[in-house]
Amino acid sequence: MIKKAKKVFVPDEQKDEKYWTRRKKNNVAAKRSRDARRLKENQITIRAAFLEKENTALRTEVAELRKEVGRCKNIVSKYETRYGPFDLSDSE
Amino acid sequence: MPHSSDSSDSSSFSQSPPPSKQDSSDDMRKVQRREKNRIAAQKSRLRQTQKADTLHLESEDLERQNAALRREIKQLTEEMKHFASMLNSHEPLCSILTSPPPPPEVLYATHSFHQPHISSPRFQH
Repeated sequence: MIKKAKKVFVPDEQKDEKYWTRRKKNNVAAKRSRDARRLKENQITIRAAFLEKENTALRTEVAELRKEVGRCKNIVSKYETRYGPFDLSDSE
Repeated sequence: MPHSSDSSDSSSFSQSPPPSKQDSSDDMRKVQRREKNRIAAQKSRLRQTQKADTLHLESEDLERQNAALRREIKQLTEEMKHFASMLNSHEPLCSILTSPPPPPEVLYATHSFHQPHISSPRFQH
């Protein structure tokens, strides 16, 4: 990151054209820098919100799948306790 | 761009009024206000960078979480496919189906494994 130079007070007599051209250049650069930083911050905020939404949706999906798998395992175990091991036909 | 500065001429002391008690206390107040503002600006900048850093860390954490959740979904989907094929290939040999009617509702209550709903494309995009 750019190290900030110490603030030096410049008396009006020394504020010649060269000084003001330098000031203008720096002001423009500073504004550009602030705008870039603000844009980056907005992008990060948007991305975080998106990931949060995605995270919630993924968690819901995982919960549903876990429930379904649980039901299947339950069916198989209930069958097996009554009829013995699950028979699978070779023809498929 | 250069705004007009105050007209006091430093070379003619006889013209400029001597500093009154009022001016000194005004100057002191100005200095105090400037210092207050400096501290406030510093605090504000610090809060801003901390907020950005925190948000960035949270995003990275969420990325990791989402990747893990996706892996789990993939694994669970595989498991469901396994059950679907298992139940399909079991159907011809099912003891419940081959036994005399009526089929026992007590075991399968609201669930019938004849229908291919297990392999239904509910979570497939």
